[in-house]
Amino acid sequence: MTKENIVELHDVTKIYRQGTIDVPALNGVDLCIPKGGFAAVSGPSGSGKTTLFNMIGGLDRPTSGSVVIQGQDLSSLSQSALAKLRLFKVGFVFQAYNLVPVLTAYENAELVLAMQGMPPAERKKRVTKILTEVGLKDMMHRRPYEMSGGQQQRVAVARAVVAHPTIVLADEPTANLDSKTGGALLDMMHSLNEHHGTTFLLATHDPMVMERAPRVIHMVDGAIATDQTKD
Amino acid sequence: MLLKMAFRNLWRRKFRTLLTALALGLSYAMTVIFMGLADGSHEQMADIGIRLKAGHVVVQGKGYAKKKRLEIRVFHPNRIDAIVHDIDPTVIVCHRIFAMAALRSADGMVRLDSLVGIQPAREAKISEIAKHMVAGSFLKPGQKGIVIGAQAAKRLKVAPGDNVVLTTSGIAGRAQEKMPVKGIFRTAGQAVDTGYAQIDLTTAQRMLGMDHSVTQVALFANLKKTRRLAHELTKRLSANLEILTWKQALPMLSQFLWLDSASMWVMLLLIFAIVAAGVLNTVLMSVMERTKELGVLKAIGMTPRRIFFEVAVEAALLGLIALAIGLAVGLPVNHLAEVHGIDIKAFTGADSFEGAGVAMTGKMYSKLYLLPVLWTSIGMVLLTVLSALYPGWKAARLKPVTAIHRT
Repeated sequence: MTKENIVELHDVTKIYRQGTIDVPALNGVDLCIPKGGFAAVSGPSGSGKTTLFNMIGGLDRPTSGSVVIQGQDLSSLSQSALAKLRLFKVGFVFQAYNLVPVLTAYENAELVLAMQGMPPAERKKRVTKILTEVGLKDMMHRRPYEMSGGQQQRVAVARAVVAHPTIVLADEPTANLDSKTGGALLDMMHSLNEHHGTTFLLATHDPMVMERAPRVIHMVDGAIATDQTKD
Repeated sequence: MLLKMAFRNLWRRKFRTLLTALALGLSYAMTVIFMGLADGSHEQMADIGIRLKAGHVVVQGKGYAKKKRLEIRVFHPNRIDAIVHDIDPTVIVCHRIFAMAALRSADGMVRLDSLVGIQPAREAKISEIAKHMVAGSFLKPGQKGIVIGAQAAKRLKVAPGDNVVLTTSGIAGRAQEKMPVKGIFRTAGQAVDTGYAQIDLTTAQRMLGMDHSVTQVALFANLKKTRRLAHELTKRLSANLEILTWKQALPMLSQFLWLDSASMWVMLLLIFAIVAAGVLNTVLMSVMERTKELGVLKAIGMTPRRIFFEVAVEAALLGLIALAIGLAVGLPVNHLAEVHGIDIKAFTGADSFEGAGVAMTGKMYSKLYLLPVLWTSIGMVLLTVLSALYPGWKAARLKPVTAIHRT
């Protein structure tokens, strides 16, 4: 039985204009990500990985082509509607963690749920559960500057998955971590993928991530060069 | 959550936040102090003006306010007494005649802009002149004599007991009488101390040919009762009479006080405009510093409206902190000025503060009302929020895709 595609890109092109020069960042990308998938997007710097993520995450609009998330074409959505889509359907994990520095680990994870309008009691249950799962039960009330890089990235993952999004987009999540911490983070993502069915798409240079991802999409010059699914 | 974030964001830059809040707060403290002093001193001046030249409400012949002619008079002032007593028995009613006159002595001559015929017994309860006697005594009922200002006495070179010749022009023509100086007053108002004198009402009525009529029935209650009293009298008195509140009866003084208030508000508004620019700068810097963070918030789903609101809440909090500082400094200082007063000399550099022919000496006392404090408090917090509109708009328009990649 084929799985439902939750992300579909059809002939997506993105051209940035720098002065009088057009710089193509994506060249007719077609891509489908099934529900519950776990894929790594690799490629050299400038190959279009981040641009691809920006398109899928509704942070940017394609020059041509369409991006569809769970049957919803993003090109027709307003900025507010895109923000709402990101709030309910997309989780982001950034290379530099990008936690809100004035909030504790607990509050960072809670923020998304609060913005969704979830009642405090339900939020407490969900946040405590996810922070326990990512191994930060005892650090819930620490601010980002009181935590290591690996711990901060775990909080970022908790923030990305706490609202049960359709897809989690992780841009170079292990780039700032040592191999041991990076490996532990990957274990955690795989576990969330297996146990909660969360879909993960990871942009990476990290061979370990590529090795452990069941599907690896390789990009070169804004196009998908190879798309391999491991047995 | 938004409130928590806003408060912590402000606290991130403690020094900058406190400095801005302090500037804003001290400006507000100054507003509170100036409001109190302005209202207090204006009430003092209005009170002096009312006691000297009018009442809280005055009843005059219709058209007297414009023409100031003796023919336009109140023929039956005692009837008004009865009506006023029926409305409010606590109101003090004084019958007066105002006329122009000249005083001569062997050594000089003084022109009187206001020769006032008064009922000494009633007038003593409210008189500004009685309070400021520096030689001799205030008039007694039925007593022939005149009370003059210190400047007039100096020019005429007279003292209590000396005679002066009073010349005036009444309904029946010119009248002249020799009159003993009974007392000398000093109010510090140049115009009053020179050109204002009082004689007994019956003497004035006789000299001016007024029979039992007067030019003014002055009613003394308090500022709060003024409008209601005037309204009640308008309903009950004849259409041949004009009923004026003190502001209508003393338009020059009223305009002077209004102008004084207006100039104070213009000055305070200018100060606040400068401070608002400081707030704008602080909030804008805070937004610019957090471009990446705001980009991340947008990326994870915060709507532009919510981002704008977040910035506005931060500014409102800053305003509230400033308000607390302003009230903490302004109210105690104001209380001191209300209880102990401020020496006018220390404040203005002169012995008196004079405007529209009314002079205030000694100390000015602050009088702070709740309503202006409430409105200006709301205004100040609103001003800080207004100052945050541009930074908020800028933050709301950030493109997350570029903002999150800022370093």
